[in-house]
Amino acid sequence: LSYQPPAAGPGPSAYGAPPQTYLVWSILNLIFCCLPFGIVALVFSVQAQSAITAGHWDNAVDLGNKAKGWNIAATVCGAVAVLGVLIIFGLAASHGAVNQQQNNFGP
Amino acid sequence: VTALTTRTRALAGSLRGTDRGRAGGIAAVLVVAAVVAHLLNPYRDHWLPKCPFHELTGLWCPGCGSTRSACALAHGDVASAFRHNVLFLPTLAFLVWIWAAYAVRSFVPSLADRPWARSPLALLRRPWWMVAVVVAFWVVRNVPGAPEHLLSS
Repeated sequence: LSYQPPAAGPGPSAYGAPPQTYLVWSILNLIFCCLPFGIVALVFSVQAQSAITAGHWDNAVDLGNKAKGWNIAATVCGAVAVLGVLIIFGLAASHGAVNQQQNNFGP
Repeated sequence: VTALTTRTRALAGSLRGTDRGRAGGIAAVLVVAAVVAHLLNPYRDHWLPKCPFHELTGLWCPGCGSTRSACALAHGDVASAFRHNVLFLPTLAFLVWIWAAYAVRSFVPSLADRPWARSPLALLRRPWWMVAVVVAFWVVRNVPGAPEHLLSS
């Protein structure tokens, strides 16, 4: 394999700290929102991390912003889904479905 | 009480936006989450939100079982925490490691340059294995006849 010089663009020297990859947020979305958006966000976070490793920090900024956008979408969708479930349960409970649940109490 | 409130507010104000404040805030959130998880029982509290993917498709997603794992862990039942979602404990350990290293760097600046105080995120080069692990787990736990600890039942 021959050596490939890094593409032109601002590298580590042009910024102080490495750009954000939002990897932790992506992982949290994947666990707790369990939506396809979480996977997409994780892929962009991983790409951003890889770009930082490769020295392409300008690419990493773009990829990190995409990860951020998908993470916002995943968190909003997750929050809406959770609220929806809570509201549906509240409606069901107000219609007397609560009596069924009493039989399922664990030890 | 007013003086105490004022002092608490002053402390909160001086920590706002600092690394120490963030590290302490995350610790507080983790403690509250652990207490809440200890008070909950997914087998009793049917109002707890379910995974929308599982509700719609009947299939297990890579995150399915996280709530039960968290509650089992908060009750000291590590075996159950592992069984409900195999990836939950390793992921939690990784996130706690990130926080612990951040807390050490924030509160003990003299140790910030030690190799073990570096963020594990800085050790990741091209973490495609994360995507591979998640997708592989997603597929494997939906294969009929998968081992019990890979399912979420």
